[in-house]
Amino acid sequence: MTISMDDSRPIFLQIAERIENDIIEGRLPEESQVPSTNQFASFYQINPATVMKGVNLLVDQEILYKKRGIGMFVATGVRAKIMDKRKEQFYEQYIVSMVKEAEKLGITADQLTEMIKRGDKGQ
Amino acid sequence: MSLAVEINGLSKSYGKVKAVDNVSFSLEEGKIYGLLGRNGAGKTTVMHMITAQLFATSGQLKVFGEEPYENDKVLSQICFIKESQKYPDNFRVADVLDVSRLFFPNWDREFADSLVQDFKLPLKRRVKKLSRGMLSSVGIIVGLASRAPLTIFDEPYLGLDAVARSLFYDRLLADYAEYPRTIVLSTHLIDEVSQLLEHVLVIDNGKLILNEESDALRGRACSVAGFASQVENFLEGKTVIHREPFAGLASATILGHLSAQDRKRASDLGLEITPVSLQQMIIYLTNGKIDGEAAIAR
Amino acid sequence: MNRVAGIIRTHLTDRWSWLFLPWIVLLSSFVCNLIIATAGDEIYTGGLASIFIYMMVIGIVSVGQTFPFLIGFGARRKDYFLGTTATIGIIGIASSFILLLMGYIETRSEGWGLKLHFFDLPYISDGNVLARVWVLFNFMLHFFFLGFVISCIHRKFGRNGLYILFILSGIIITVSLYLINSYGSWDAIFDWFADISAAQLASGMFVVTLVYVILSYLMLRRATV
Repeated sequence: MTISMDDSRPIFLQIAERIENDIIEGRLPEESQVPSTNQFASFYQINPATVMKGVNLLVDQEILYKKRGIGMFVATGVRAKIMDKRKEQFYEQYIVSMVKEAEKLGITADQLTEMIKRGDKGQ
Repeated sequence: MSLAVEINGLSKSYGKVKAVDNVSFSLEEGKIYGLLGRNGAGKTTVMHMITAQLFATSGQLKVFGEEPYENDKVLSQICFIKESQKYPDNFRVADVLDVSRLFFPNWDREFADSLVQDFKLPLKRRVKKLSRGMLSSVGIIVGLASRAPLTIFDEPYLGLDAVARSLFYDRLLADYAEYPRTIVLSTHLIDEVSQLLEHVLVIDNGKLILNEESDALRGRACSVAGFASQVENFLEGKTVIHREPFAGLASATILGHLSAQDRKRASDLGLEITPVSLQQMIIYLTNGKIDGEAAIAR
Repeated sequence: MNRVAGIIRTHLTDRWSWLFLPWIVLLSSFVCNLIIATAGDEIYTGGLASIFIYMMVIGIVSVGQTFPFLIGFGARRKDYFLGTTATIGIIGIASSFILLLMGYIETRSEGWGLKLHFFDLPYISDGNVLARVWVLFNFMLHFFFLGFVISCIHRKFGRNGLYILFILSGIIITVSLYLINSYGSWDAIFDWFADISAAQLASGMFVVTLVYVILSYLMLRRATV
């Protein structure tokens, strides 16, 4: 198996996330063509219907659009849109729980900021 | 959408033993199904009845809208590759492929030849002299190249190594994409095939206990862990499929989605919530014996 | 009809069992007899029976091997049955003509120059060409279906079915022999056989074969794999 999926979450969501990641990280520039359902299916060894569901999710959110007879393309201006969405998720997923944990350990807001700066340098 | 298989209240008894007990389900055309469950759960019996190789004790069974027994129109559209498929002693691999052409109307000779290359099968060797893995490859090749509108694989990869199994999944998906058809994969190696499946049927002790789209099942179960008393407190009113006490601690697996309220409550009780994989969930549902057998089968 | 042809082709794919082995078996028996015949005396031998016994063996073996295989490949039981019957029909007719031809050669060559009577036997070879083919054909068919029906009993009723069959036949044979003995009817039986021709006997056998055929079909209809 090339890159395995997480079997504890719906795979169509993971497909949608991977396409979004590719858009954010520039592997799929705006107005570029997205690999076909069957290409995805054979690359990840997953059911084509599942891939289709993930792709359709992005079509519904107007991140991808369909060109008749050609395939799926990345819409213009969606990179920023996805980034905004992800930033909101980042806040909910990481910041909220981080602050909560920090409170438990008695870390002050200043100390927390300091730690974040240190972590940034460490990279 | 039209149905490839329609089963209603199907039962098969051997004396007092009920091998299949009042099973009902239908298979839509063009989907890949997983028929999962422990060895001896009744999967093979159900498939034998679908293909009219075994007779039901009671219940209705329709394949492509008709009764399959002695029905050429239906039988010629089915390809059932079973673990125990018998071949005449004097048949060589090439003979099996030659004969397949006579029985499967959509047989693709070129595809079969390319699969023979892929699986490195010796065409001139007698089937009787093949290793277990090679014998499985013969079944896989017949099953894929038959392109039967209903193709059923029953534990198709006994004795095959990881590379060959991956090759099977690869060719299956590629050919399915080009020639969509109803495919049933029956297996107890759930983790490997779960991604290929659009829909999952789980049979346990002759009964159908799960019949759902596989993606809808992922994330359906989760585990909570923490102090035993807190865990018990949280579990009230929930469907618990597995419990594991450990000293004063406990971990339990719950079926069903947790609401935001549930999650907050868990967090307040100091419980940790972790997602459970589809495979793990099915193992719990079928009494947790699959894992050991899967390990032996490898 | 297509499927029936498929069954025939599947059977004949096993060229060893259907085309080569019966003749190898028969030829080895023939060669043995030839060697014995060089000793000088005129010999009447029953070596021809080897090919009929072989037919019974293939009747037993072929169901065990081809029935599960072909049903597994989606063949109808009816087609399997018709195809198998057609296969033995074809093989039976072809073999009968070859045996007949060998019989003529044997007569012409005065027993292969050694006064060996292997293919051309008294009683069996009485009558015209058609009668002789009919006799040979029925021997082939009868023994094949005897094997076939035994195998079908095994398939449908398992090993216990066979035990019961053998025990019953044993009892019937013993009782008949006892009755014939005690009534001293052996002469009457021999007379009866002497009165009917080989062709008539073959026709009688044909009726028995038909009974085997019908019984096997009824059993295969509900046999599982």
